[in-house]
Amino acid sequence: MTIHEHHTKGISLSTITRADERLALVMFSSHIHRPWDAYEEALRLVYTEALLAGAGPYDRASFIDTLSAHGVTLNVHHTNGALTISVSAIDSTVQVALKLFNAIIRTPHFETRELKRIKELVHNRLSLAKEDARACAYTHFSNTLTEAKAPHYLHDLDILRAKVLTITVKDLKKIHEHMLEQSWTIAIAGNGHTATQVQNSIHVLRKTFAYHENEINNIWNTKQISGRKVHLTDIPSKHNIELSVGGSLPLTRGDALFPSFVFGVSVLGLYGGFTGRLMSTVREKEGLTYSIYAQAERSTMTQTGFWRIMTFFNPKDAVKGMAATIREIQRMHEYGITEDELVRFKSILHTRRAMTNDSLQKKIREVHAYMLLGFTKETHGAFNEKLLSVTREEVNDVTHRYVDPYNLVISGAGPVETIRKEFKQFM
Amino acid sequence: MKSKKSVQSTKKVSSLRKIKTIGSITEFSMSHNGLTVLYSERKGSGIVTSNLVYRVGARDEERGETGLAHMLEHMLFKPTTYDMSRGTDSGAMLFERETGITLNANTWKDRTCYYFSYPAEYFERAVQTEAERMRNVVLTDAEFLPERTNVLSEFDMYAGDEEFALSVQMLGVALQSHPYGHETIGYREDIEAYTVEKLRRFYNTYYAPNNAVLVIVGDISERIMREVVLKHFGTIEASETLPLRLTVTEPRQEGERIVTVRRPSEKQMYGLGVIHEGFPSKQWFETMVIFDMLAGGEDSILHRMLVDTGKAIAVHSTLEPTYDRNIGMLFVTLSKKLSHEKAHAEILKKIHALTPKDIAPYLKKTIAKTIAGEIATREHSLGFAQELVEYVSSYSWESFFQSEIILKSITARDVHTRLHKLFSPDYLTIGYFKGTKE
Repeated sequence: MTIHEHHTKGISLSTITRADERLALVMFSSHIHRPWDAYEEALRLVYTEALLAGAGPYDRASFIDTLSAHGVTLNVHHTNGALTISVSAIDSTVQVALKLFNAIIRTPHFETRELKRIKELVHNRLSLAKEDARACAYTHFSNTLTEAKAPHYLHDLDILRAKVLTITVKDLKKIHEHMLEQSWTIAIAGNGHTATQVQNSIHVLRKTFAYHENEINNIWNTKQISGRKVHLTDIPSKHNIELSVGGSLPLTRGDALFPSFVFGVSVLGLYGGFTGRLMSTVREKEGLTYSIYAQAERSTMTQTGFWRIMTFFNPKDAVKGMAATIREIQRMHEYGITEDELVRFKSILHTRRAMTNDSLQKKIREVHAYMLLGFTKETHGAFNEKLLSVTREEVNDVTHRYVDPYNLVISGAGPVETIRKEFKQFM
Repeated sequence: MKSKKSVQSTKKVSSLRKIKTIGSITEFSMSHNGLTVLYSERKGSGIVTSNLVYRVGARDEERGETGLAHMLEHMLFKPTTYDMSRGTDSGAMLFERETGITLNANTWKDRTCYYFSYPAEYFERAVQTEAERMRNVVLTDAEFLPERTNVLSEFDMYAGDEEFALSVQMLGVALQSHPYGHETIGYREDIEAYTVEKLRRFYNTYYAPNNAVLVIVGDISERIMREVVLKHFGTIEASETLPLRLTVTEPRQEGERIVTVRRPSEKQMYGLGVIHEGFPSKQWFETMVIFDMLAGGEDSILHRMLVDTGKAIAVHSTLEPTYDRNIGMLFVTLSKKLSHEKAHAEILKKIHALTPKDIAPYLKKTIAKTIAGEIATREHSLGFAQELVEYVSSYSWESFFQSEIILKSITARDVHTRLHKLFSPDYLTIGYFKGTKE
């Protein structure tokens, strides 16, 4: 695979090519910088659905029929302030995929009749979301560390449901215009021929919809906390208590200490597999949970973030499970990583990167993700080099500072009532 | 159950005999112990995936021991006698912890498989690890008891999901004789009653080279593959007491079966189950077209009829590639506008009103989606191997490249006939998940 980059005003574009590749993939993102509140959050939930509800010469039915008839998939989602459109086609259907993609960008319909349907659908989904224990635990965790006006702040579900019903066609048109004016971050993957077709299409779109410099404050650093903040949400229909546990990380990805922190938190709980300490102790040795991982999140090149452990426990194991988790946090805080872990995890992280070469889909997701964080191929390469050359002292210094068992946010959701008192006493 | 007769050989001659090549896959057989190897080379990526499939799954479990195949799968990540003699932890876990390779396993109705995906330089280590744990995992209470707690934790993770809870009940009433009638993870009561003796018996019965298929896909030459596989698997003896698989014919159903699950929840869900033919028969693919047509996306019939009108929040289906006949299920998450009983009436009315003309465009779509979907899944060695496993477990790896041909041989009339057979009222299993306030 080869990766080429192209950066101009208003476009960051990476192209991944592999000879004889049949797949053709696009990941298109636009950071929509607008003042954030519950109405804006509701609007974006409706907007992502509305983009697929008819565009160009296609009404909604014919748009979806055309996708299916050609085996093309086109998804729209919104996370952390960025709208992303993902397209997957094969070489023989890429022209159709581009036609549909262009239609969404250029002339989405935003019909009143479709808006009514979408509002009802989103309203119903938000109702069910109240029982999504994992999302609930995450929401309260994240919100504790996030300013209310930041685009990562997640509003109360009942408030969102009410706001969804007030969204208008005019609102949709306005946010779409706004999206078109922003800087676009795009990753393309395929063979040389399909990649060129997609690139040309993107460049024509950018010429059509001129980029305007954004004036809104985009940088929202995470809040600092002191002490332990515990939040428990009762969802009695669930069997397990989902947990998000962690703290503020006042580092951007551009900070010199950031690679060392990522290394340390990988040792603590590298996501996926069984290599992290949390999996090998809390799960394997103590049998307290099926999965427990840790990672650094939210930080970009210009904005700080947090670190988070994600897990779940059966109510009868919840206090023991939390005790084991806090113990591991304490251990990392006080003693850091061992020399053996330093050597092993360099090998582990190196292998993980090499594995993305096996899959074009994995590769495009990796490239798109680091672009959204503000990296280029060069700076991401430098980041990874630094990651694989950290010293034990660097890692232990930064984990001692920020993996702090005394300043933690602990957010749980599930059947918590039976253990609430005991849990809070323990904390 | 009958045991296979053993052929006593006085001389163990290990060789990998080439059997046949279809597409990019070549089948080999190890002469003295019956191990099958399926090999597909992919030059240039530097990555290999190896996936060892044992022909044992939920269908091989006795009553009172449901989920044993899955529990044993967890135990295959514990130390072997080799690890103990080396004074190390489990070879499989050490492999991951030292190198960062991808490893995991999964158990299903007809098979249990273990896979590694790794840079090619680790090929020998991967093969050695699989060979060592085929017969030599040490099963003791010290290793088993904490792992059983993990399996119970996994069970609770699934059991809290409304759809899982409903599907377990529907499975139980739909398949009353066939061993597919319980979920792969088993019943909690059975998991709590496991002993190491039960695990040992299961392990000694089913884990043998003549009950296994080793799938190797990636950037490794045939020469090296042969050398390494022979070196590590060539000395393992075949099992002489491998049981033949039971053939179970489900008794004839005489009338619809209805099951209700009540739990505190906001959710209201309707499930509709039908018995389909085994994979990868033409009839199975006809069922795939039907399920795609009914619930395969926003253009599907039930999505348009129910979700677009606000009567439901979501629709989707499950259809498993199992060797024997099994239950496929449609699920509808209802809104407040539609009751379970009315959902049932409306859905069946719609299904029975469909004509071959209605079906034809959906057949075309399923073909297009399948072709594109296979290209996407098989573009990487892990996806290729995982998809091949499903064909292997149905004793039909040769059909791996046939899905487009099979689908194109199906007509709208075939699908229409299959639809009416499947959804005949007397053969249905119906499930209601009723969320309650308390």
